[in-house]
Amino acid sequence: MNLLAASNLSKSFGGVTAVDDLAFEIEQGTIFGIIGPNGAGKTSLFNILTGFLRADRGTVRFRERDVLGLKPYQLVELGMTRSFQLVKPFFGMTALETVLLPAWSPRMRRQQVPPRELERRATDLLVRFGLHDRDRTLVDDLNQSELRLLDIARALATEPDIIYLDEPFSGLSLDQIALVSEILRDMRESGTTVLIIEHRMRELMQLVDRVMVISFGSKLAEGTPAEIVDNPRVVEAYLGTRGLDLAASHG
Amino acid sequence: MPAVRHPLKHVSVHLGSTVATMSPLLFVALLGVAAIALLSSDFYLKEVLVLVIVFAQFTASWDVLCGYSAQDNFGHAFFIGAAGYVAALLNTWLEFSPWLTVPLSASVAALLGVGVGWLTLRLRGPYFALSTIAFAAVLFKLAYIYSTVTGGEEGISGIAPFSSSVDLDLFACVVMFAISTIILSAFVRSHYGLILRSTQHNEDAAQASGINTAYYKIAGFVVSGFFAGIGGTMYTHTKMQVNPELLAGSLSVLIVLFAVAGGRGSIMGPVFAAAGLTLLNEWLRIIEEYRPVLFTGTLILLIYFNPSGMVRSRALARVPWLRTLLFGRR
Repeated sequence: MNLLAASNLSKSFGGVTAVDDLAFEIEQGTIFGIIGPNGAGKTSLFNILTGFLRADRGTVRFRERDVLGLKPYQLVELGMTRSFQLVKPFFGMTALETVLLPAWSPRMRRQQVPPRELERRATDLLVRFGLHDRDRTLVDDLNQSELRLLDIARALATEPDIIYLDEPFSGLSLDQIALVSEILRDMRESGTTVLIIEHRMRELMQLVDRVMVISFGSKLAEGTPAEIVDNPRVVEAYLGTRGLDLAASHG
Repeated sequence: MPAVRHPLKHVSVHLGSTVATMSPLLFVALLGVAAIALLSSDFYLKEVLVLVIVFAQFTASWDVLCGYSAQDNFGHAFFIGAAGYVAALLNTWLEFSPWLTVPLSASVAALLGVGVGWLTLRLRGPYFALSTIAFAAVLFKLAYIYSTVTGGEEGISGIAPFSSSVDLDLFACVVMFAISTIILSAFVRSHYGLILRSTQHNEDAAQASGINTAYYKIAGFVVSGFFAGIGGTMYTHTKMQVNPELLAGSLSVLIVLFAVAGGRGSIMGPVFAAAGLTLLNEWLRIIEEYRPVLFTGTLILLIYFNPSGMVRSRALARVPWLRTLLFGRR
């Protein structure tokens, strides 16, 4: 079943076309990767999908409902959330306060979860991301990789049906990447859908079910990781020699 | 290591525990002022203490929004003056009791907060600050243009005080200020404070967490406007007159300076800074010719040596018990 379907999605900034007539569908409970060169329009696409940017035209349907034009917090209420490419923390707040913030979203308040239980869930999230000993630390004192993990944990605290992750592995150690990948696989098992933009090809290709390649705002290719690394157009436009290595690792 | 400030509890649930964590010195000081109100015969001292409380109220009401959301409102006098004039008109035209004009005028200021909040939602930094200056400046000018209603430069006089004695007026101000401070402290310790703080550096992430930040910012304006309005009516009924000075830009700037000197985003820091500096300003009247220099010089030195405010000074951080005594527990 398709959870999300976008069609004819376009966005231009003056004379620059960031997203050009994009169309794709994503099944529930899958991990969907989006790759492409810098400036290909990946983050612009995320910004449109999450309500931070208005598309010039097109449609986005989530559970058969047209959601294009809704505000970010309204999309969270429906079950869509995101992390950010550039992590800007809530300075002056602790790590625990950061993951408790979504408890005040209408989506979570509707569940009428007792405060003690919400605090337990938030603490569990921090434990899951290896931040359990940093719960009462001000985010001002966290390092960049901890902030990245905290941003993903904050997004997960909304208990989303679909999560958009913009370069979640950026700045993380290999151990931390393995940890995040494991969490994302667990989420997939529980039926959560993941959209992920990432430049770390090896780790991404091992994680995702399908990949879409974007170049100059348009879809260049879409398929399984094995199909993508074998696609000569993708190798030429983006992967280069990395494609040969990845193809070898995919068998 | 800062403690979590109970972000999961509502304001109503939280009033009791807020009192337990507030500045012990504030309550001692308020008890002292109440004792002076009832026991002392020093008329001038009581007048000064009323002014101290009024300025502390102005500054606390500024801090509840601007200190926590890091948006600088340079037109706070808009709410103060508007409520002051509404109270004056209700009292002199319709002969409403001060006990009725206080909630009514503060409610008008809160409604104005909805308007200002909505109109300035998308503005940040200097654009926000300039727009707030504009609101206050327009009202300041209107006070002169509609002089048949507002009394022009002379303002409106002959306004009824809270009671027939300065003692009871001071006592009334103490009670209103104490209640205001407890509610404001509970507000910022609740999820409203948490969300306002989250908008300081990353409003996008707050929205991506499912928070309708516009609602919370407007709510902050409403609360800020309401309690500024209470301060404005306190001033009007204790001074028994109101004039355009209550709408002046200089008042707005003074409030911002008090809050910054005390430590914005803490309620107690701005309250103590406003109280102490207002007292200083009054005492300096004995050397009137040096007063402006000494007063502004003290303000500059305070901010120069403690750019994050007294509440976050390094000296106080080394003496935690003193910090708790002055500003309460976080």
